[in-house]
Amino acid sequence: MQNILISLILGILIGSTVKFSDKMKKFNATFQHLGVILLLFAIGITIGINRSLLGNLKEIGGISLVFAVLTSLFSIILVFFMSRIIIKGRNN
Amino acid sequence: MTLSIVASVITGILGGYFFISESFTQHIDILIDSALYFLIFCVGIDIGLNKHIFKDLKKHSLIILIIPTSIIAGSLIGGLITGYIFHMPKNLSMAISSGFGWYSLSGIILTQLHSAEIGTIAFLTNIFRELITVVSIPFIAKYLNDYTAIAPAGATSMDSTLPIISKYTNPETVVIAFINGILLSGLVPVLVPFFYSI
Repeated sequence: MQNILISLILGILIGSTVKFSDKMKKFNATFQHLGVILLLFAIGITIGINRSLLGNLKEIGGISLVFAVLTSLFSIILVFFMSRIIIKGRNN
Repeated sequence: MTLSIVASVITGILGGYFFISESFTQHIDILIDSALYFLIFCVGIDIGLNKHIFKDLKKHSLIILIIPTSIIAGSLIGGLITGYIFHMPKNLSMAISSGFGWYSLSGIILTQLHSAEIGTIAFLTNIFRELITVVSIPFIAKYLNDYTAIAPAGATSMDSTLPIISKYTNPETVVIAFINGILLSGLVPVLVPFFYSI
């Protein structure tokens, strides 16, 4: 966790102090894309090596779907009610 | 982008299944760690580059405070209920639900922190969340309100789902969605390990 935070903060500091040309911004976007692909490839390998995990994929898919539906649903409900309160406040 | 993401996971799974032995896992861990730190560093640069965000933050301060907070709270409530249904420890279900749709990152972090199984659940959860977002935004914008269209998108409201939000809402919501995405994206690498550790 510490390393993740350090990487994030270091990035923010560099992004906010160093002047980036459009070319450098493009490079940054390309690096991010390549980084994501490399990471997902590596994650794929860890899934592929793990035979028992592949056997459980159906169950894992079900759990993930419930997670996705409920996290989205409760986010929608809360944002809807909170934004209604604000909109009401603005109109008053 | 989406195609290359799916292709890289599938190629990895096939490679791991057919060609790579389990003794190789350690080397892969090192690769994942270094690539992860590098990726987060690049994301940090992106956040730092968006200086106008601070100006926009002042203008929309109340709503900008409330939308991400509600998304975080809603995701955690949904995650805790899911964890309860499947008899999962609370810290794990909260860590999974705080990916806020950012599938590549939360999956990787949880693979490293816990196991390939939980990492895969986090990965699939956020892929499904993005699919739900894409399908539901037009209906939310029509029947609920514009701000609520940002809710299912979570951290992806700054990139992959922003064009859809933009298509079905208005420019003010797009600015708020973008800032919301940046805030939540910055929080994923903080909150996932945090909830996991409690």
